[in-house]
Amino acid sequence: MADPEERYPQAFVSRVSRRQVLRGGLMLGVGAPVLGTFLEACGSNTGSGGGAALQLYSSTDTAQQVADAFAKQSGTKVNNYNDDAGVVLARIEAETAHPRADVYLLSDAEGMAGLAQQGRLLAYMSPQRNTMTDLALKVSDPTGLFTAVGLSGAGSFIYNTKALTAAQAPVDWPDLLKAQFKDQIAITDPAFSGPSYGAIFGILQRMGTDAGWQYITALFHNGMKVFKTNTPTLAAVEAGGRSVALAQDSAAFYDKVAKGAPLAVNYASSGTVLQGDVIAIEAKSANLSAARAFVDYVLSATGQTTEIGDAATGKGVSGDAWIIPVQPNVTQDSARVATGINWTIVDLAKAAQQEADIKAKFKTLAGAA
Amino acid sequence: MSLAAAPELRTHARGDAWRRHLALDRIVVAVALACLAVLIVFPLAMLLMQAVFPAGAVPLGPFVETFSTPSNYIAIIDSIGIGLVVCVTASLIGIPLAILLNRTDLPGRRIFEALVWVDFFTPSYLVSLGWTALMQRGGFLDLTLGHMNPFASSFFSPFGIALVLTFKLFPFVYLAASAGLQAIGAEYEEAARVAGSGRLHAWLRIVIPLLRPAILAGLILVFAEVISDFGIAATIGQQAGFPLMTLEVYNYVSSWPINYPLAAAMSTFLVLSMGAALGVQSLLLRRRSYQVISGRAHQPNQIALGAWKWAVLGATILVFAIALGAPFTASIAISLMQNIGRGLEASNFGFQNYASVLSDLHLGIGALWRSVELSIGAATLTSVLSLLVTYMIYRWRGLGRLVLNNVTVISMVVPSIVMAAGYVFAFNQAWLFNAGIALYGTLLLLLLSYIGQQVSMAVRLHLSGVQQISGSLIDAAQVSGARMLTLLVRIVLPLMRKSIVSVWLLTFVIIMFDLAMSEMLYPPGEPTLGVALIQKFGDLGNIGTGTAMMMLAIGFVLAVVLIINIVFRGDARANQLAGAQRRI
Amino acid sequence: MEVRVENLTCTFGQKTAVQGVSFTVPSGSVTALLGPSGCGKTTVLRSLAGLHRPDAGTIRFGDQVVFSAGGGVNVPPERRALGMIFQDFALWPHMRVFDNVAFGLRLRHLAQAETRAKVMTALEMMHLQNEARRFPHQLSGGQQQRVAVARAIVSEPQLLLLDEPLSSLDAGLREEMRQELSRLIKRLGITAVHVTHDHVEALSMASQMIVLNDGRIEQSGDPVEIYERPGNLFVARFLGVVNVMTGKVEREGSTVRVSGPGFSIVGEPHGPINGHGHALIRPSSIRIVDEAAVSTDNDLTVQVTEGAFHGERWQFEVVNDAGARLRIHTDAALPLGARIRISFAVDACRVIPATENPGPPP
Repeated sequence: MADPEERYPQAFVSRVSRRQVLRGGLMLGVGAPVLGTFLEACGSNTGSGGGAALQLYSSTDTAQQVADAFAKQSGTKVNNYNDDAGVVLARIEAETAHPRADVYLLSDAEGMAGLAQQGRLLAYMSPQRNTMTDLALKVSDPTGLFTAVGLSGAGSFIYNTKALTAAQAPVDWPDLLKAQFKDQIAITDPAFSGPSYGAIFGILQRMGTDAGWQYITALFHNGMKVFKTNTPTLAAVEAGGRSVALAQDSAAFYDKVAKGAPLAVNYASSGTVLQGDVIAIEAKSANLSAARAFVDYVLSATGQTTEIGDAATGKGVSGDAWIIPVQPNVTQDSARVATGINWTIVDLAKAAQQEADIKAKFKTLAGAA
Repeated sequence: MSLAAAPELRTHARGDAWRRHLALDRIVVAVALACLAVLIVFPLAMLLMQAVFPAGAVPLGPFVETFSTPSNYIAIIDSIGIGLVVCVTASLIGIPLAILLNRTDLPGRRIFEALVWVDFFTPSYLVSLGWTALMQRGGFLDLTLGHMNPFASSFFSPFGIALVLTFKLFPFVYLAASAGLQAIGAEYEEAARVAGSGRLHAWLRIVIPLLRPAILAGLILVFAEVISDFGIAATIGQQAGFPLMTLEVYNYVSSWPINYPLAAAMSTFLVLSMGAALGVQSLLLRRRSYQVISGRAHQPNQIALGAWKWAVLGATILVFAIALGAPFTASIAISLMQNIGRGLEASNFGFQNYASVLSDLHLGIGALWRSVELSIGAATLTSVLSLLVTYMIYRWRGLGRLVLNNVTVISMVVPSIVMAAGYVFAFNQAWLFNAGIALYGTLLLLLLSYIGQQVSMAVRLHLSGVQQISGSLIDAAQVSGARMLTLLVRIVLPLMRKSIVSVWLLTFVIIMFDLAMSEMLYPPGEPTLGVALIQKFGDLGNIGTGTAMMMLAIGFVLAVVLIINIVFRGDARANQLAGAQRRI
Repeated sequence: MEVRVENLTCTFGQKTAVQGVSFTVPSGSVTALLGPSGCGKTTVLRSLAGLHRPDAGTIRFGDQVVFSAGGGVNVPPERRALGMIFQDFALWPHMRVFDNVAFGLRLRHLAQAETRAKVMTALEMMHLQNEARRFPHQLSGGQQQRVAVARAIVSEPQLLLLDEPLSSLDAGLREEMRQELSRLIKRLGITAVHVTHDHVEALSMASQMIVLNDGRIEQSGDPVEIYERPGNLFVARFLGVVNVMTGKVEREGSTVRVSGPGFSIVGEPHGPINGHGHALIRPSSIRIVDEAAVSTDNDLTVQVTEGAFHGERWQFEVVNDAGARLRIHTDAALPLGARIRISFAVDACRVIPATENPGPPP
C-alpha cells in the first residue's frame, strides 16, 4: 500500500468535467452582463450634462423620424423618449428637481403652456418663426417659450360612413345630443391625450363653464364612452361599434381613410379647436446650442416635410403625417382638409391653469356615467 | 477581562488574521443592512410620509381626498368588487379541478397539473396581452371571423377583466385545495363510508368541510392577487376604462398632472388591504380549525369517472384552452403574420415580425437585451444580498433577527406598483439631487428597485432552504474556527446550491417580465421588455412585432431555464450530496 | 486544562433550561454529563462550546475566562480552541474526508505540508488513511464517526466536547467505538466533557460523572460511587433498573429497618433518617434461595407474575402477598405463578430519605 501522504495530493487534482466547463461558461455569461449592467447603469447617470447627445422628450408620432433626420443632417446624436403626452408630461413634472431632457416636442399645447407657467421652459425665438403661418403663430407662445410645429383639429367629428350618410352625420355640437347618437359617441381620454383635453377645454371656452359642463354631462347621459387613446377610439368607429368619435383628425385617421376605411370627418360649424404640436427647450438644458439647432430644424421647411411626413413618396409617413404644416409652401397630401374650418383658438394659459380641475371633473363624470 | 485577550486560546491562530476577518464580517453585515434600509425601508417610509404628511397639505389630507371623491374611491370599489367576483369564479374552476386531478382516473392528470403550474408562473400582463391580440378589433378572432368578432368591444370591460383574472388565478385555489386533499388523505372519507354514508354524502359532510380552511386560505390569496395585480389593470383595465387601484397609483405617479400624495394614500390603502387579507390567511393556516393528522395519510382509491370520463376530459381541456391556449395561440399566429390587415392568407405568414424585432435597437431587441442584462444583474445581486440576510436571520437571535424577519415579511406584502411608487417618492427628492445623488431616472435605480422588490421573497425562499441544513454542520465549522464569511462561503453556500440556483432562476424570470417597477422607473428612452410590449400593443400597427417580441422573450427565458436545469440539475453529485445530507 | 463552570444559568423564553449549575472538570479527566432528554446537559455543553450564550454565570478554561455574564465576556466558538464531536457527526457532505478534517487547520493558515501531515496522522489514528479521498456519504456509519473524531482531535484541542457521540450508531458498533474513544482520549490526555443519556456509556468512559435533571445537578462524583450510592431516587432510577420499597424507617444500630405493607427489611442508611424512606435494591443483588435455607440477609416469599428474556438474562416481576412488586434477574426461566423465596444482603439495600421527586418511571 502506498504511503497515504504521497497518494493524497491526487485528491486535489480536480478532474475538470464537461459540466464544470459549462458551469464556468455560465458564470462568465452571468458575470459579464452583471458588470455590463452596472457600467451601463452608472453611465446613464451622467444625464443631460454629458453634452454631446441631445435628449428629446416627445409625444408626437413622427418625433423619431424627425430626430433621425436631424441627426443625419447635423451629426448630433438624439436620444428620443416617446410616449403618450400625459405620460411624458408626468415625467417632465416628476423631474422638476433634476431635469434630464433638452427639448420637449409635445402633442399637447395646454400641457406645454403649463410647463411654461412653471418656469420650466427657455424662451427661444427661432429665426424660422419669421416665415411661419399666422395660424401656427396663434398656438405659439408670443415670447418664444414654445412654438407650434404642426396643426390639427381636436374634437373633430370622425364618423363611420356605413352607419351614417353625409346627411346624417353631425355638423355641430348640439347634434351629438340627439337620440340618434345614443350610445354611439366615442371620445379619447383627456387624461392621456392632449388634443382631447384641448377639445374639452374648447367646449367650455365656447359655451361658458356652466353650460359647457352641462353639455358634457348630457354627452355622458347620451352614452358617450371614453377610450384611452386615439387608436381604440378610431378603431371603435371604424368597426361600427360607435358611429362618431370626438377625436383628433390625426395621421392615423387619414391613414385609415387612405386605406379605404369607411371613415369621414366633419368640423363643427361653431368651432373646432386648433390643436398645435409644440416644441420647447428645457430651461436647465446644458446642451443649448444643439437644442436650438434642433428647434430650428423642426420648424424649417426641410424639417416640416419630415414632421408631417412625405406625402409624395409615403416614406416616413406614420403618425402625424397628415397634420397641417407651420411653414407655407410645404407640400401636403390632397386628402387633408385644411381650409374652411372654423378654428377655435383656446386660451392656453387658462387651459393650463385649469387642467387638473377639469380633468378631475371629467373623470368624475365619466365614472358616474 | 477583555475580548482582545481571548485569541491566546487559539494557540495556532495568528492574532491579526482573525482581527482582519472580524472587520470584514462587520463590514459585510453593515453593508447588507444598509442595502435593506436603502432598498426597502427608505422607499416605504417615504411612501408613508407622502401619504401622511404631504408637502404643503394637511396631514392625512390625501386619505380624506381619496375617500371623499368618487373619481378616487371608485377604483377601490372596483378592485374589491372584481376581487370578490374572481374569488368565486376562480374557485368554481379550481376546486373541481383539484378533485378531478387528485381523486379521479381522469386521463392526462400529470400534464394538466404541469399546465396549472405554467399558468401559475405566467406573468399576468403576458396573458392579458395575448387576450388583447385575440380579442381586440382587428385582432386574431376578428381575422378568423371575417371582422365579425362580436366581443371586440364588450370584452374590454369588467367582464373581460374578471375572465382573464379568473383563468390566471384559479391555480391558487387549485393548489390550496390539492394540498388540503392530500393532507386529509382517505381515512376520514373511508370512516364515513364504513359508518354507512354514501360517497356523495361523505364528500359533502366530511371532505368538503375538512377542506374549508385550505380553500378559504386559497381564496384570500386570489383576492390579494387581484387587488395587487398591475399587469391586467394596465392592459385590459386601461382599455376598458375601468379604473383599478393599482392602475390609479400608476396614473397618479405617471400621468399628467401627477399627484404623489394621492398615489401614496391609495398605495397605503392597498398595502393595508393586502396586509389584512394575508394576515387573516396566515391566521387561518396557523389556527386550522381541524387538526388533520398529516404524514401518514394514504391516498384513497381513485374515483372512476366511467361514462363521464370523456366529457370531463373535454371540460378540463377547455379550461386550459381558455387559460393558456387562446391567448398564446392568437399571439403566435399574429406574430407570424407579415401584415395583420391582410389576415389569414397563406402568403401572409412569415418571420418578418421577428426579423424586425431583432433589428429594432430601440423598442425591439434593444429593450429585450436591456431586460436580460438588468434581470441577470438584479437576480445575481438579489441572490448575494438575500443570502447574507438569510444567514443573519438564521444565525442571529434577539432583536436583529426580529427586525430582519419583520422587514422581509412585511415587504413581501407590498405590491410591485406600490414599491415602485415608493422608489419614485424616495429617490426623486430635491435634497438628494442637491447632495449629488441623482439616481432618479437612471437604469441603476431601476436595477436597485428590482433588487428591493425581490430580495424579501428570495430571503424567505432561502430561509426554507437553509432550514433543511442540519444546524450541527454550521456548529461544527464554527467550533473548527470558522467565522461568518468562511462559514457562508465554505459550508452554507455549497450546501444550498440547489436552492440558490432555483431562487436565482425564479428572480431572473420575475424581473425579466416585470412590468410595474419598469413602467414607473425606466429611464426615458431606455425601455425594458415590459414597457416596450405595452407600447407595441397599444397600437394595432405594432401588434405583430409586439407578439413576436413576446414570443422571443418567452423563448429566451425557457431556453435559460432549460440550460440551467441541464447544467445544474443533471448533476449527479449534487443529488448524491442532497441525499447524503439527509442520511448523515 | 481545567474547566470551571460557575452558577451557569440558561433560559429559553419562559423556560429555565439550566439553573445555576456549577462544576469543575479537572485537567485530563473525562467528565460525563448524564441525564434524560431536556435535562439541560446539551445546553451546558453548547455553552462550553460558545454555541449558546448563557444568561448568567462564568466559564473558565484554565485561567482564561471564556464566558462571564457579569464581565460581558463571551469568546466566540471559533476562538475557544475546542474539538467537538456531534451527535449526527455533522460531516460536511460536500467535502472529502481529508477536507473535512483539514478544515480547521486551514483556517489557521498552517503550512500546507504541516496541514497534510497533521490530517494524515489523525486519519491514521482512526484507521481512515485510505478513505481520505472519499466523500462522507461513501462511508459506513462507523467510518463517519471516526472522521468526526479525527476532525475533532486534529487540531490538538485542550478540551474535547462530545455530544452524544455514540447514539446514532447501532449496538455492536457503539460498544466498539466506546472502547476506542476511551483509549484515544486517555492516550491523548485531553480534557473531555461527554454528554450522554446512556448511563452505561457514562459509567464506562467517565472519570467524573454529573447527573443532571431539570436543569440542576442531582449528584456528581466518581461514577462507581454514584452508581453504588445514589443520593436520591432519581439518580438511582436513572442509573439502571432499581427496586424501590417505600415505608417507615427505624434506626437499628448502624443499620435501619424499613417496614411497609407485607415486608420488613434491613438496609444501610444514606442521609438523614426521618420517619419515611426508600429502600433501593438493584435486581442483580437479589438471589433466589431455598425455602429451607437459613439466612441473616433480608428475605421475602413472593409469587412470579411476569417475565421476559432480555438476551443475557431473564427479568421477572414478583409480588409478595401484600402486593409489593419487585424485579429480579435470573439466569434461567421461572415458571409463572411459582412461589419462590428471594433474599438480598443488607449492604445491597440502601435506604434514602423519602423525597418528593419520584424520578423517571422505572
